[in-house]
Amino acid sequence: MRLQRGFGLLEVVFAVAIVVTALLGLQAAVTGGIDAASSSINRRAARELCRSKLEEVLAGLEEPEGDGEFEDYPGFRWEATREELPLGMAEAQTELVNVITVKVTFPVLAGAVGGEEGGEDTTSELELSGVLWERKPPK
Amino acid sequence: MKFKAAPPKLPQRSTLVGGALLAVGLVYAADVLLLEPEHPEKLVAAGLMLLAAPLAWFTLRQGINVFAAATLFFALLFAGYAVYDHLNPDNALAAVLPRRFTGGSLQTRLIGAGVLALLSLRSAWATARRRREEEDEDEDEAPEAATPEAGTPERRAPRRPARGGGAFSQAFDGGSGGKATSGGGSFSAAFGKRSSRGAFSKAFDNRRGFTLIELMVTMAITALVFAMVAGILLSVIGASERVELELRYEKRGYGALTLIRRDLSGVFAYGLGKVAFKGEDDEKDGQAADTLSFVTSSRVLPPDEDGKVPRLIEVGYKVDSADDLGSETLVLYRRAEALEGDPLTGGDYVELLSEVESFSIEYLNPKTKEWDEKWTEGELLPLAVKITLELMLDEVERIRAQEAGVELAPPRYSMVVGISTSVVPDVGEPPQQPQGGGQQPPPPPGGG
Repeated sequence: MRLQRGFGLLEVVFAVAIVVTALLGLQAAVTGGIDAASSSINRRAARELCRSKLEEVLAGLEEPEGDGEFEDYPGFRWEATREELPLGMAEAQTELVNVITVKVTFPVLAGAVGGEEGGEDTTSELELSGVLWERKPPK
Repeated sequence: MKFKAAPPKLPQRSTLVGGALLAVGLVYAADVLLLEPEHPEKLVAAGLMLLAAPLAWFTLRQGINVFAAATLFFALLFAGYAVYDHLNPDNALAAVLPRRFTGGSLQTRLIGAGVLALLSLRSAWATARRRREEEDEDEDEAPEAATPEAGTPERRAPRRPARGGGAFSQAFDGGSGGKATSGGGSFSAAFGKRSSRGAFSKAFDNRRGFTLIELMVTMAITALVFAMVAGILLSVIGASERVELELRYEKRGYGALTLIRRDLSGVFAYGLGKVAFKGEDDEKDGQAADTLSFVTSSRVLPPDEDGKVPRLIEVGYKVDSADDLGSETLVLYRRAEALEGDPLTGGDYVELLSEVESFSIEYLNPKTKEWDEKWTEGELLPLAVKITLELMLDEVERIRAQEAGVELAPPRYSMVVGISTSVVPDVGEPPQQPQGGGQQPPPPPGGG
């Protein structure tokens, strides 16, 4: 019995360090999973916002070449571009076909875990296109 | 036999309390694992009991300070319950325990537990110092009895300071001194031969055991690790709960909106020669509860026995209050049936989405390019429709926000649906077709 020396403080400290490292690794793994889930929420929101914004541009509410932010969604931005699509004979052309592309930029890391403000701010983007027909003014 | 002959200071109590805690902790852990695997967080409580068991055993055995030990256990349990209560706000214990024990935020409760633990440690420290001083006094006397035998090689052990049994070993030292070499059958001689100490001393005291400072450092480190684990667990669980909740809202909100968009994607201005698109601005319990009726060519009804889907379907949405377990909530209803008679009425409303906070529809007027609250323009169709749906906050989330004093906005989902003008017959022409006894819909969509 007397040979049993017990742990020294240093050994305990090392053991705790190992345990803490393992725990931090675990936290990193879980945090990554949750961040992925939360950015999937943002992705879904961005898709719906993009679609709605495209409809607004096509309806003429927004400029076909404009940009802006979304009120209820901080960090979300949109940008619309127009590209003319030449159709048919140049002379007989009575209609203009515009391809409107709306691009939405959104944050993917919402800082769901811990909520630290200075978290890495990565953004992602997606875009949708629609067709806007215009009657060409007669020459 | 040994223990009967030489009862140590507090062995029974330490064994009893430690064993009981260990048993309860094990049983509880097994209970949670076997019967309630869906509540793994309860294992924290079991873990605390299991942690408390060796602590109880140590402190009681060393006779540190029963009061301090009890306070420490209480602090641990308090902290454990605070965490558990935080994770599981409507647990059975919360209803039973007094409010003072269950109230307050997690932080205050943990801080309270920490203060209690510190107090108990301070008390334990004071007791231990007093005891050590007593022992030192004992030591001063003990060597006098031992010195005459100092020449014997076997007599080295008693020189070491006897911990937790000063008076005890002294008593035996006295007895063994003379008889150790005689090998006599007397009780004290039997024990005196090897260590010249009693059974308790032999069983426990030869092993140095932990000093209080070591114990405290260990406990501090353990507490630190536990705090880290609790922090990690809390943040992870909180975040995953929030994400899960948000996903649930999103599923319901966007689900309903997507269905409405599908209905609207083939909208018609007329049905059976009557104005078919009508949206009204309404309110229920102070919340927007708009209604919308229209006719659509989308195939939003299941096919009948012949596999046919009606070419035109009248669809309606409305919000009505429903009595849900005693509390009034709003429910979004939808009706859809083959176009028949007045497209604005008829059909059975079916519940689409419950626990709706508000439902509002705006219409983009092609003349003014403004969003109108309602649409009664007759044959003219809006350029686009904006649907905004707010869901009721989850009960648990609402209560939590209320306790934290935070004003939470209900989850809000919005969608703009373009009314494709190519689907609509020319606006300038009022409905001309006489109701020739059957389906006489306007010309089908011209190439979208």
